[in-house]
Amino acid sequence: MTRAMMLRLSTLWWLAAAVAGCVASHDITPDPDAGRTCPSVDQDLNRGIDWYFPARAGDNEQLERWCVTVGPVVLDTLPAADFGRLEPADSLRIAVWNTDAGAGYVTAFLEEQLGLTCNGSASALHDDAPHFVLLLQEALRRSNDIPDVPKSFVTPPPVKENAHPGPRLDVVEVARQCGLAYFYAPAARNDHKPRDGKREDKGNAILSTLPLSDPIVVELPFEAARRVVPMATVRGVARDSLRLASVHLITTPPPSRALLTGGSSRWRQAMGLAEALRAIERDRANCPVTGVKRASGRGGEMCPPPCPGACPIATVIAGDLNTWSTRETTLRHLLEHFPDSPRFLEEPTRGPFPTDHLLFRTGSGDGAILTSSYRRIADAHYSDHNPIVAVVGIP
Amino acid sequence: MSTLPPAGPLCCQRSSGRVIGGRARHDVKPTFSILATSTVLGIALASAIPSTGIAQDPSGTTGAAIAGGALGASSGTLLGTMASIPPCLQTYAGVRCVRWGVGIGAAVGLASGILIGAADSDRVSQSATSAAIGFGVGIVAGLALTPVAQRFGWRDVVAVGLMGGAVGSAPVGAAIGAGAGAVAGALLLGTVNGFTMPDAVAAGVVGMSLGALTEWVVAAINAQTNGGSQPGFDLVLPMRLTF
Repeated sequence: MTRAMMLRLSTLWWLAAAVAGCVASHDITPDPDAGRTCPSVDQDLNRGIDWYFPARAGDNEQLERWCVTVGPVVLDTLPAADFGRLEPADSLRIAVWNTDAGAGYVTAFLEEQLGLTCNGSASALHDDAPHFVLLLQEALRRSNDIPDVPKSFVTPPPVKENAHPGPRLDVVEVARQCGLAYFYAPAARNDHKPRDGKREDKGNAILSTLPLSDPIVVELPFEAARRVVPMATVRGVARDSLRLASVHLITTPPPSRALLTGGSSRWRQAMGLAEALRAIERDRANCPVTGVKRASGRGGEMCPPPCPGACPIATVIAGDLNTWSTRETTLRHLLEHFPDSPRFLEEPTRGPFPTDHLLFRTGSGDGAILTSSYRRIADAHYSDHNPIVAVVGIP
Repeated sequence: MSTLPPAGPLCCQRSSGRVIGGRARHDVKPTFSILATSTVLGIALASAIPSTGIAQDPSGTTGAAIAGGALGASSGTLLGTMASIPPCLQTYAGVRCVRWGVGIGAAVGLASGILIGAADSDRVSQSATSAAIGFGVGIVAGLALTPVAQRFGWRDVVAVGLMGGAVGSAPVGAAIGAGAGAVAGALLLGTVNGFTMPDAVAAGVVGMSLGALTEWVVAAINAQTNGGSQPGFDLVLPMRLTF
């Protein structure tokens, strides 16, 4: 074989193989990319909400296109109803549910599963019901605060909802009707055109009987669709004790993306979230930024040294991770970041798939998931996902 | 909307500047070393076959060897990807494992393609023709999916076309592999706890991809031993692309 022939063959092979199995960075930064106009300074950035973004320019180009189509983040940190505070020996129930946009009957779920009677500022927990935080995915918001935009590839068609009785429930309206603290971060439109006179977007939400503090939104690395993670902290008996994140990872990426990334879309988003949490912990611990140059880093970026007590606050991340099994790489790697998680539920929560999970790590104080409490709720309340629930003891 | 409550004890100043989280130990490293290794491996494999190896058979040509290598490498890359994604993403290694599957598929395809082309240009023409048909079928399937699948654009139509082409380059092996994979999946579905329907479907896809790769290898062996095609594993089509 001649040298020229070998060269040509090598070139051909490189062209073919270089497109497969490549994975982009999942670095996260608190500083928006220079090209970002969304989230806007007026609506989102100056309201005490910290944002974290993918560092990669390609992600930001896509995220910007999607971001401008949705309405603002909505936040009310204090419950309108007086649910009281967490007392010593109290536990906190954490429920997780993909509500299938307007289909999941959230009000009935709150009443039947979490023991909440909704009545505005007079809402009350049943006698034996503990405080709760509800982490929602595919939560629906109906509002004409959502911008009027033309149909395009960044305005996905509406979620195909399961048949359900009654109205399509707006998560913000439900939270207000039930006197809860709430934090809703939209990720994408639910169709470009209004429905029953109102435009719609969908995203993740946190509803709580306890006040929420330290609100954060993390935009995950872009994989076929924009995904955002709202996070907030609830106060335990003695201090801010538990950070909670409502997560919705990408489902099945389109074929081109699967081939280009070796099917690593969910893994990349999950590792982006882990990176964001690391950056958040570091920022909140007042780490000095006089770091050392990362030995293996590209471009000599400065990276602060890890703080002592790297996880000062217990953290729950939970939601629809869209996993096909509990053996997935994404879950295995997330488990390293959340070593105190309860054993994954094998029961399917979406069709035949165990898609929904809750992961946990303790902080510098006590606190643990009561593992026997972690379970799937059989009644899906008209959503296409079963909810999951766990009880956590926090100081 | 109310204002935020006072910052808690853990809510402190944000660090300024571009602070990026440290990279995890599973972070992505360039794939170049694997790609380069696979390239060298593929060419070395082809070159290492003694006697009839790259030495030109009368029925093979240099052009056919190049074309066979290109077709084998591209098909092998895609088949390796398709074969490795389902099982690898159930392991801790994840995408690193996929990369090895891609590299091995590419190396096997490259070596097989060179060997086939060097010995039997007709066989390369057959494979190219059936790959072209597979590409066309894939494009049509992709176009049919466009209105119903979300986030499915022209890149995805091309991707489905390329996968169709890779499978089409070795259709008999792909069909046998798909059948074997489906049967294995069905058996495991009923016997292994935790093996679900999606796993069974994945077994079919993996079987199809491995079957197609196997056909490339078998064709290369046939080409080297007989200087031409062997009954049983070749698909004769009514048209040819010639080189």
